[in-house]
Order: sequence, then C-alpha cells, then structure tokens
Amino acid sequence: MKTLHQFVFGFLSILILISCAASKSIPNQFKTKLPENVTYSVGFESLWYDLGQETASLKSLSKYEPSEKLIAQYGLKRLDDKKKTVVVTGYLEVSSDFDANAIGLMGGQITSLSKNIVSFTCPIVRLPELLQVKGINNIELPTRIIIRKPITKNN
Amino acid sequence: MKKTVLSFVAVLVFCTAMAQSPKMSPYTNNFVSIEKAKVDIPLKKMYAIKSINNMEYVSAFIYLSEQADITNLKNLGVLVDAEYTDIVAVRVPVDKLNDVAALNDVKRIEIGFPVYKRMDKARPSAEVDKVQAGTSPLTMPFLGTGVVVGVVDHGFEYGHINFFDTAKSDLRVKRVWNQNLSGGAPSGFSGGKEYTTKEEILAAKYDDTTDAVGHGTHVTGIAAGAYKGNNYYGVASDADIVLVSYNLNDNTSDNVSISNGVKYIYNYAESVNKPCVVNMSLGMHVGPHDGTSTFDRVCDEMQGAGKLLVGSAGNEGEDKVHIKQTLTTSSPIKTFMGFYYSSTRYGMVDVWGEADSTYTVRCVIYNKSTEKEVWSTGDLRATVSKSSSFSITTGASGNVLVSREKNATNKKGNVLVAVNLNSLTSGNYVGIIVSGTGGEINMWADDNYSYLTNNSISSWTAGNATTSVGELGGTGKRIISVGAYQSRKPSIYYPVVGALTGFSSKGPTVDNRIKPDITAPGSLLISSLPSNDAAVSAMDKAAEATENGQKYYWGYMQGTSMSSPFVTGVLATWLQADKTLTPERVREVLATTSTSDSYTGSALPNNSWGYGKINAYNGLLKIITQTSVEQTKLYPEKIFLYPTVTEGHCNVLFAQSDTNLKLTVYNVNGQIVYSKAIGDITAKETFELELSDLSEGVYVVKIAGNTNSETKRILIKK
Repeated sequence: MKTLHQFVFGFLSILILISCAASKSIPNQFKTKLPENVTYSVGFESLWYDLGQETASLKSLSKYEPSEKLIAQYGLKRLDDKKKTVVVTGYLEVSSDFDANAIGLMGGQITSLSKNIVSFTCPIVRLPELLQVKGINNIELPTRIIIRKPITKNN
Repeated sequence: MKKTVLSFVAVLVFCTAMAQSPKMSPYTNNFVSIEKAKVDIPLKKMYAIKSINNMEYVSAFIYLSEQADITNLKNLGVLVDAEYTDIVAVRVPVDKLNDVAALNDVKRIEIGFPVYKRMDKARPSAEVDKVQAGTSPLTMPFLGTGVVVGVVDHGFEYGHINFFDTAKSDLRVKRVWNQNLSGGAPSGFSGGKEYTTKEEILAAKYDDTTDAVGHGTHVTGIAAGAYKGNNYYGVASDADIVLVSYNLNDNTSDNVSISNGVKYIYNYAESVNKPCVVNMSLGMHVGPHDGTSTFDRVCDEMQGAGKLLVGSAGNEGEDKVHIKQTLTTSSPIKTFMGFYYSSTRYGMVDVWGEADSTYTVRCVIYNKSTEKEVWSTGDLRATVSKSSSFSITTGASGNVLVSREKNATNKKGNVLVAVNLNSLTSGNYVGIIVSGTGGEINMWADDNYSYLTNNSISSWTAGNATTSVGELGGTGKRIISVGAYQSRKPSIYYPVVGALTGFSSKGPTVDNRIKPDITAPGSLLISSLPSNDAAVSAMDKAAEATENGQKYYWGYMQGTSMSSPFVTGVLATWLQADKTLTPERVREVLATTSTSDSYTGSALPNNSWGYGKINAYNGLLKIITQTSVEQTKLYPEKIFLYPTVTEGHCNVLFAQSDTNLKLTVYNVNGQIVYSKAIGDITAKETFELELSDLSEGVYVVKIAGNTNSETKRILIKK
C-alpha cells in the first residue's frame, strides 16, 4: 500500500512538473512602474500603459495575446511561427555593456545599426524582461510613415 | 565648330615645329604657342585663364631654385597666392610667361588644368550619356560596374527585363528582402523573407501583387535599368541590385523597418567587397527636421567610405506644410488644419520647440462666425511625457490623440496632434494653438491628408513651403538629398524644361543646413513598371516590350522619388571610379562640378537647387583626375606628378629630399602593373615615369618614401 502511495505520488509529481515545463508562467509586470534608469519615448510609455490596462486581470502573460486594436494602434507585428507571436520593434540606445544575447534568449532579435543604437524585436509578453537587460539607456518605438501618394502626369 | 577644330589642329601642328621651353610643361608650351600665334580659338574655355583688372592671368605652379628671390617674379606682375618651400602657386600675366620662364630662379612652370563648370549653359540632361559612352577623355564607359545599387521601396517586379544585363541573360538583382512576408528572415534581422538566388528571386516575381503603383520598379529602373530595346534605360546599367520591400501596413511603414533595410543592403555589399549606394525615395513630416532623429543619426553613422545614401527631398514645394514662428506670451501661434479629402478628415500636426524651453498646445474646434472655440483639449504642456485621447463633443465628432514629450536626444519639447473626424459642423474648423514663451516653434502638417491654413482669417497663420524637406530623405547630415527639375516633356503645370518643379521641397533644415543638396531630372521620367494586373490597369503607360513571351511595361512618373534614384545611379558610376567615395567627398564634387544656369542662378548652394543640377560627366572627370577647381587654391604637395592625363609619360617632381622611395602603379582592379624602387632622392629632383606599355585607362600611382607619400590618379589616353 505504501508502495502504491509512493508510486501515485511520484507519478503525479512528474505530471505536475511536465505541466509546468510545458506552460512556463510569465508573471504579468505590465502594471509595474517603468524602471527609472531608462528613458522612454512617449509612444513606449503609452504602449506600456495600454498593456497594463489590457492585462489588468491576468497574473501570467503566458497565454496573453494583444487585441487587434492594440496591434494596429502601435504597429505591432506577428512572427511567422506556430503561435504567430506578436512582437514589438523599435530602437534601443545602448551602452558598451549592453547584453544583446539576453534578448536573443527571450526570442527577440537585435540588429546593430550604429555605435550605440540598435533596432530590436521582442515578443510582447517578454517586454518586461527586456527592460531588465543591462546596458539599455533609451527605448523608442517606431514612427509611422504615411507613404506619399505618387504625383501622376496630370496632377 | 568644325572651323575651330581645324584651326586648333593647324596650330598644334605649327606648335610642334617651334622650339619649346625646357622649363615649361608640354601643356604650358602649347598654351604659349597658341597664344603667340593669336589664332581665333576661345582660349579661356580651353585653359584656366582669368581676367583681373583688364589683364589676363593664368594660374600656375612655379618651381624655384634655392634662395630664390620672389621679388623678381612680382616685378613681372606675377601674383603670388601661396608659398610652399620652393614651390609657389601664382597667377602669371599671360604675356609675361616667357619672361618668367627666362628668370634664373625659375626651374619649372606648370599651368593649371581647367575644369569645365559650364556656368553659362542650361543642360536639361545631366550628361549621363557621356559617362555611359565613355566620352573622351574617359576611355571606357562608366555604368556602375562592380557597385551595388540598393533600393528600399515597395512595388517591385524583381525580374523585370530592365533589371537583367544588356544581353538579357544575367539577372542583376542579387538579393531581395521582402519585409512583409515570413519564413526566412536574413541573418541578423527579424521578420520577412530573403531571396538569395536567381531562381528564388524570379520565382517570387513581385513583392505585392495588389500594388497598383509599381513605385519600386520605376525607381530601380531609373537608377540601374539596362534594357536597350527602348530609350528608357537607367543610369548605372551594369550595377548589381539589392531590393528591400519595406514593411507596409495600410499604406504606412515605419522608420525602424527602413533603417533595417538600409543596414541589410550595406551588409550585403560588405560581404561581396563592393561599394554601395542606397536609394530611399521616402519622406514624412513627423520629426524635428534637424538631423537629430534616431533614424537620421543611425543613417549618418552607417554611411562612410564606399557607403552612400541618397534620399528624395520631398514633393511639398508648393504646399502649406510648415510654420516657423517665434512664440511670445502676447502672440500665440494659431493655425487651422485643412483637410485634402472631405471624406476622410484625418491629419497630424507635429510641433517642436527649442531645446530646454516649454510651451503648451491645445487643439480646438473653432467657429468662424462667432470667433469662439466651441470645444478644446485644454492647454497641454509640451515637455510632460504623456499620451492623451480626447473625444470631440461639440461642433464636430471624432477624436484627437495628443502625444507629448521632451525628446531625449535634442531636449526639445515635442507635441504630436492626430485628428480623426467623423463629421465637422459647417462653419467650424479644427485649430491648433501654441502658447507660451518657447522661443522658435516649428510645426508641420503630414501633407498626405492635411495642411496648415488660416482660412482667410488674418490673425491666424497659414503654412508655407519653407523647410518642406522631409524627414528620412531630406534632413540627415550625410544623406544626399535630391530636389527635382523639369527634364522631359513639359506638363501644363510645369511647362518650362530646365526649371525647378513646383513640387520640389525646399530647405533649410531647422538647424539651418541647406537642403536639398542637389537637383536632378524628376519630371516626367519614363521607367520600368511591374506587370501585375493591378499595376497594368492603373499605369500611365509609355512603352511595352515582349521578351521570351513575357510582356514588360514602362510608364511615366514624376516627383523627387524619381530624381533621387537618378542621383543614386550617378553616384554608382562615381563609385566605380573611386570605391572609397564618402558622402563628404561627394558633396565636394557636387559643389565644384554641378551645372548652374539661368534657372538655378549663380548664388549656389541654395535651398531650392542645392549645388545646382547634377553633372554626371564633370563629376566623374573630377573624381578620376582629382583636379582642383579653383586653381588659385592649389595645394602643392611634397611629391608632384604631372601630367595626370597622359599618353604614358609622366614626371614626378620631389619638392623635398627623401630616402627609400618606391613607386607602384595599380590598375582599377587593384593589381600592380608597374613597380620601381627609386631609392634616395634630393629636393627638386625629377623622376621620369614611363608607362607607355600600359593600355588606356585609369591607374593609381603610389609613391612612398621614409618621409613622404602621395597617391595620385592618372588617365592614360593614346
């Protein structure tokens, strides 16, 4: 009997561990204040605020998908992976100790554009972790460009 | 013309029979002979002659013996402009050249080569035809061979026949990155799909089959089209091509996608060890317009030796897009948003103050007859970082979004007002009011949907076209920004061939830099257009051709979107001659070789024309021969090589002693074709360089010793 209890306990433990591994919890930090050692464009501050509003009832972001309204409003993009992960892009102004690899580990991408400015792509749910990466001085969201209408021969 | 040529030939024959002064260079001897013979040849156009106080002078280097007394020169009327050890840069009275040569202290006289500015000629084309034909003294065509032309745009037909080589067999498009697709981003970038082989590129065919404009295909054709079945091929018709289709969503893109596109193209060019010029026919009016935007800063840093960027200045040259006014407490700035489309009353106004100053902005609904604000956002302080959304409740319906911050880079207060109306009661207008003591205020309307007007109310301010150059293509500190002049077929709106088009945006930037940098043909240009159904049904067609059973099209477009790739193609031909060209060197060349005429005026550069009209041929000659334009400001080097255009014989004059000198000659491919260990040399010694065995073309001569070194370019022409 004791052996049976141990077996059941062990089996259930394994099941729980597998479940945890399969759906790693990402704590919702959108309601927290933005770190003060970084400066932000007003667009980024606005996005952070709206994300906080949209995820107010969520403890974990693991299954969070931004609304289409938010995606359209901030020009968020979707990656071509199975989950169609929603990502945010922009510029980072960085210092020499910036850890680009950390962003890669969270499923993002860094492209170096100049000595101290990179462009970034980051899954929206990992944005709070991006803010903790060493060496970031400023975050700026992209500016929308309205494509000029061509001038035709007759106008 | 024929008479002039025959006269000149006759004189040359005459001159060869006359005794030549050993102290004069051959070029100088020719000049003296022609001048003495008094033949009717326009000497000023063939030699660098200037009139000063009714006397004619020619610029020259004079090499003097040690302890020479330059008073003897001055006594003959020679004007001494600069003294360098034993070499002086002078202006010599033409009729005193022989007397100067006779002086004991004079070792050698070398008059300067002229550079043809063509100040008095209006040239509708940019003399690209001479560059492509390799017109003398060029000895080969310059078509952008060995150069990468990059285009960041949208509306591409990747495999248009215009993007093959002239034999129509080799596709010159080497890489494509479509940022709108998925499934294979380039290494180091996120998103989109990259095509790296001819098969992949041709199979993909278009970036967007729903695109009805074909802007990218037209632009690329101007820069680098090669199809010779009609007259509509481009400038750098042998350049490699890399295309980036920018991320497009509901007719908008973003600056990060664009800068990533530029980086991608530069990365590719570096990987194949080729110089590169990227074209960006894009612009917008959100931003400080002073070169401090993040986009401008990263693009400035990405450019350098062999990495050039060209952008369109903008098409807002006649639009009410900008207001610049000094703000005082007693004089707020008041303007209205005018909407181009009554069906879509949407628009943005971007307001910028001075660094570390503040002001407030409010958006109002204003009734003209009562002169009252019937609705208002209230005053919003510029330097508070906040986004606020307002629903309009009176006099109109819709919403207003106001974003404001103190910009982290330039410390300027910035307020962006975006208005989206569902309805607007008749007699009401949307107003923007800026108040405070913020110093100089600059504001721009987006100009795609809205503009700035006073609606005929005198106390309100209408926009104008000063500082109408746009962000992205028109404001960076290193980018070459291009305006447009009428070049081809006049339209009823721009009837004068050669004149600046009305739409060409004007400078200066907010930090008072002159923009555009240059102008080029921009109305009306015929170039390639894509074959997708949407584009075919909408295009303004000029020509079509069938190759291998496939139909291809060409059509009309106008705008600085067209003049920009024209310059891109020209710079590709210049990069073929000098792979290390920098944006700064390009500006120097533009400054000294561009065409000025009755349309540009002589007060150049200015904020309409930049340095004038690009002259591809003169610019290329300048780059190849490295001749200085202003002969009176020559800089005698320690090692002087002359002539630089030669049949194969050159002289190297050493102004200073040196040891272990070595002379090496390279061809344009970087291969050593001649090498000589000269050894030790004393000052004023001459070394005779014999390169008659080399074929015609451009060569680089490097002379290096323990003390001095110089690198020169020569053109061998037989």
